Amino acid sequence: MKYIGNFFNWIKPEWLNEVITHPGFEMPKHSLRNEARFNPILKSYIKDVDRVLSQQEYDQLITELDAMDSNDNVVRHARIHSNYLDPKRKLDEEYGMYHDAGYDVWADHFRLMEKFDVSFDILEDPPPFLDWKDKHITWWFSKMDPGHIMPMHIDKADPNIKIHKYWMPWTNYEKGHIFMVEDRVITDYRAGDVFMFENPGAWHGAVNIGHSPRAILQITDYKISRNLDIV
Amino acid sequence: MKYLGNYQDWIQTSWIDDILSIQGFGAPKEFNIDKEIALGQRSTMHESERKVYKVYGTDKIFFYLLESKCLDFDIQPPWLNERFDWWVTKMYPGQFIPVHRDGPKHLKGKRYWMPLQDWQPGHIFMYENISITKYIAGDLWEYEDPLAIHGAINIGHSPRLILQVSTTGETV
Repeated sequence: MKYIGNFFNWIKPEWLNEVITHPGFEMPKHSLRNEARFNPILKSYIKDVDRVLSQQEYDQLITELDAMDSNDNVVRHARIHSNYLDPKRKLDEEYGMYHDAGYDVWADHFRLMEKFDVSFDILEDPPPFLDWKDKHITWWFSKMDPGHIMPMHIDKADPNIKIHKYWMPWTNYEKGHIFMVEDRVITDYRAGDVFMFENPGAWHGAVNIGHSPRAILQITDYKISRNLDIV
Repeated sequence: MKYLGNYQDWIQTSWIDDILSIQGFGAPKEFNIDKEIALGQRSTMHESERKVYKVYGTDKIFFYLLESKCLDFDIQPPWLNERFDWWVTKMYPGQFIPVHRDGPKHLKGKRYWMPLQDWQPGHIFMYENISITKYIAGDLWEYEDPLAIHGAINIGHSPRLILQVSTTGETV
């Protein structure tokens, strides 16, 4: 992880207060809402939190995606994440690696808060460390109470799309707040510190075996190659 | 943590089989801590223990503890010439020991930590702000400060087995 700097002053007090007090949504139970909700192509298919598309709607979505330019980054990204909306999707299959290791994939592993879950948009006052122009930006918060875990995993992504991933704690480090990337644990950070993944495809995981909650802002960006209404 | 060397040749394969075949005590739930304290069968919690259980409760299984009495083998650590206690902590994926300081009974002697398998991503031991990674089975560490804050977690994809040895401060 590459340390970028501390940007705590960019965090508005009302944002911080909302993030700290918001209970978040249980993951992976709410994974249906994951990245697909931010995707300009997919978002029109998602009407509410736990919505599962009908087979007809899903087939239509895939047909639309197949008809688009397959070299376009947004289309490729959408195609990868369209399976979140598949009505035939089974969590045990999607999370087979975790299931086989013995994790309860239905458990409350951590809490997620996405753009649609909070009253603010960080892009109204874009983070100063982010080169956001002509980029598709995804951001979310992961919150972990003591005992919450995020097993080691590699984020799903198209290896041909150059993605930047940022990790920004909004709470100060406390012993037991663990973020592991490959064989390294990030410690002694302060709220507002920003780190960038040097390898976006690195194995990583997190856990809170401390005594207080932990809140992290995560941002990914990738270059878009055509003008879309990105909200 | 002070690294003391590797004792992989001393570890018997049958120990691993034994540890994996016996469940052990689900800590803290199966220790009935609150009941034992109420019945006077257990000393009251020390400060760190109380803090952990206040946050995490005592009614869940964080990890499995396998004490010497519940295993079919005994050990004689080649690096020791003192009286000692030993036990194994077994963590399945998702299990953990919250960060804590050890109680007074560990202050007289020395504490040793030895993984029984090679390190895997997600097998984490934190000692203050230090994480022990990339170890191999049989690597031996000694706690330099018996009051250090430490904790462990398995967010990997296979069980994690650690041998723990604590000397009593008495010579044999």
